[in-house]
Amino acid sequence: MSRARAGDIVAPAAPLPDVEAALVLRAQQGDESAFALLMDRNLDRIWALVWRVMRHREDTEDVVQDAFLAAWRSLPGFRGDARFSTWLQTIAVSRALNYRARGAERVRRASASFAAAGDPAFEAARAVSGGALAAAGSASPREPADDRPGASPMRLLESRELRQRLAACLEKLPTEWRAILALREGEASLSYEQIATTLGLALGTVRSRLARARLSLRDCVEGES
Amino acid sequence: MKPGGRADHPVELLSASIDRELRPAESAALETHLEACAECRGLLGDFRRLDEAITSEPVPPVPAGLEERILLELPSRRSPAPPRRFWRQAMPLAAAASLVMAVLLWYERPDRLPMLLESSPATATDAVAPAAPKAGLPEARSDAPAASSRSMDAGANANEMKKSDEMRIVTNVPGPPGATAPAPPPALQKGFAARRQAEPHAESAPPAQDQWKVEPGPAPAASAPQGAGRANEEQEAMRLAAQLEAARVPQEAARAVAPAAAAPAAPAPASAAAEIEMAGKQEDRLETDKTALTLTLLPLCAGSPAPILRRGEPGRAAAAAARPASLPFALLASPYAVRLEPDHRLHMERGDYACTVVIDDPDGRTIAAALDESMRRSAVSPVTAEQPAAACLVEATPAAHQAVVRLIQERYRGAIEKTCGALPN
Repeated sequence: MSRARAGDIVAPAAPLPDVEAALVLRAQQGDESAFALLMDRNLDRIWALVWRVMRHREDTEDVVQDAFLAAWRSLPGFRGDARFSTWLQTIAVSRALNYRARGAERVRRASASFAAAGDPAFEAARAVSGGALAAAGSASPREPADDRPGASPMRLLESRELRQRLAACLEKLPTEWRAILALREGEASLSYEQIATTLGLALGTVRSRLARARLSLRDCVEGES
Repeated sequence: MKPGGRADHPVELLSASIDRELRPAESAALETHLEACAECRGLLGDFRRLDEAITSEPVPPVPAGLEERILLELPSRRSPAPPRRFWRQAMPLAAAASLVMAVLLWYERPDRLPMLLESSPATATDAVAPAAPKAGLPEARSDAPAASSRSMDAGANANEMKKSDEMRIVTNVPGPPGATAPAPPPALQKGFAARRQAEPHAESAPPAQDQWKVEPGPAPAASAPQGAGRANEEQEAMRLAAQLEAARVPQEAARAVAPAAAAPAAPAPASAAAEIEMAGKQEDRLETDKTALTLTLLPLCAGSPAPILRRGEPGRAAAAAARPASLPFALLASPYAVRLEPDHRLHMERGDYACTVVIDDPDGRTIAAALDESMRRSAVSPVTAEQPAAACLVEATPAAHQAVVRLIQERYRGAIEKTCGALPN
């Protein structure tokens, strides 16, 4: 058998679902270290997903913690019909929506910052967020960045101010729409069918809500709503 | 596009089209519509830009310590007893303390009756009262600082381990029918935090299981005194570091180094399986480490020293025949899951990221040696008849973790990232 040279990138070997399955099995038997490894493999993704739904750092932390604890408690009943990561996503989104429904975040939001403390990118974003938030709700939202004649905000989305406007518009969306967007356009990148399964919705509902969410966002950024 | 005019435009189809979720008929209809509708073409472009902007929106980093906080909150599933009220928990302790105090006071009395002690039947208090009057008390007291000192040592070890305790080796090996196995060792039962406090094997390995004798080579840590754990760790780190360095020199030179490290002089094998395993090692080590590792792994994970191969069948073909259909092991070297294939393909994954790179022979030895050493030194959870596909979760040593991650990040990073994209952190 001719050997490839060291450093060659070759046809992928079989993926490693057995690693996840092995860890799940151990965790189901009560092995906390196996669960720690599962968490290690999924934490970044779950954190990003929940943040895209909650858009608030402390609320995200609460929900992520709650989701992993719920997963630990429910693991004995996990039958492996779906991948563990998919199952975990379902729990996380469900917890995020419930958290929103309880309204606990509204109390906290009154006194907490939007930005992630200590993160330079977010501190910088925080510095301009006041103007962007005002711009998103003002009668003339194009003022901050639209200095090119004829350029629409949608075409200038790469600018920081408009990204902040987008962030503000995302916050104004109904949470359920944001959850669909997070599952579709975030790290999860699920298909419509997977989103429908995750959220317990009809396929058509997913499709129509995504369209409405995008249209609302587009209008918000353009200043039409 | 004005709000009033949207009813005439297929917004839903436009949205679904950027997600590639259109049926063929819908796709054709949309194409036709787009040719005639400039507004929809504009909206489609806007949707795409939105899509990119949302996807690339920065997400705050995961807060430091969140994982640890979650782990601390995990309710144990090993002790399902419902929580008791405080006084119900404290009562037995208070009663025991009172009893001990009473006995100690009684010992201190000058007018106590020695005959009473000699003739009294054994009671529960015998377990806590010193066997010899007075002499026992100072001993008990002098134990306290010793215990405290041990506890501090454990804490220091925990800190030491915590720095690099991020690697596990996960294996999936079907067990033999009817195989009976010891209970999972404490190191695997205590959980993440407790495991960091324990020396990897001195406390956790089953004491008299033949499976621990199957693997020949240096004396297993299970039989070494506890104090030797750190020294072994350092030796292992030096050995793996030397191997890693050897992998950087020309291959011929590395060949001279690697076998000595990977196949140390072994004592007489403890069983037939060990003999076979050794034969497999001697014949296959230079050809492929995977074969030898498979031979090593199967008896360990099966929880039985029963030979996997028949005598006279060492080598790749026999090992392949004995190997289960699914590949039996992978390294989980945080942040990557890594698997070494028999043909020196190293497959790595992290979430959706996956890449397979061919690695050098000496590097294969490095990973193989890391796995081999970790297998020897870690507690292997058994496979039972009820759980034939149960995973063998083996904790690798910090030095092994360092060696493997360095190999990936320093030696193959360029090749991997060139084709597969940036390595996830």
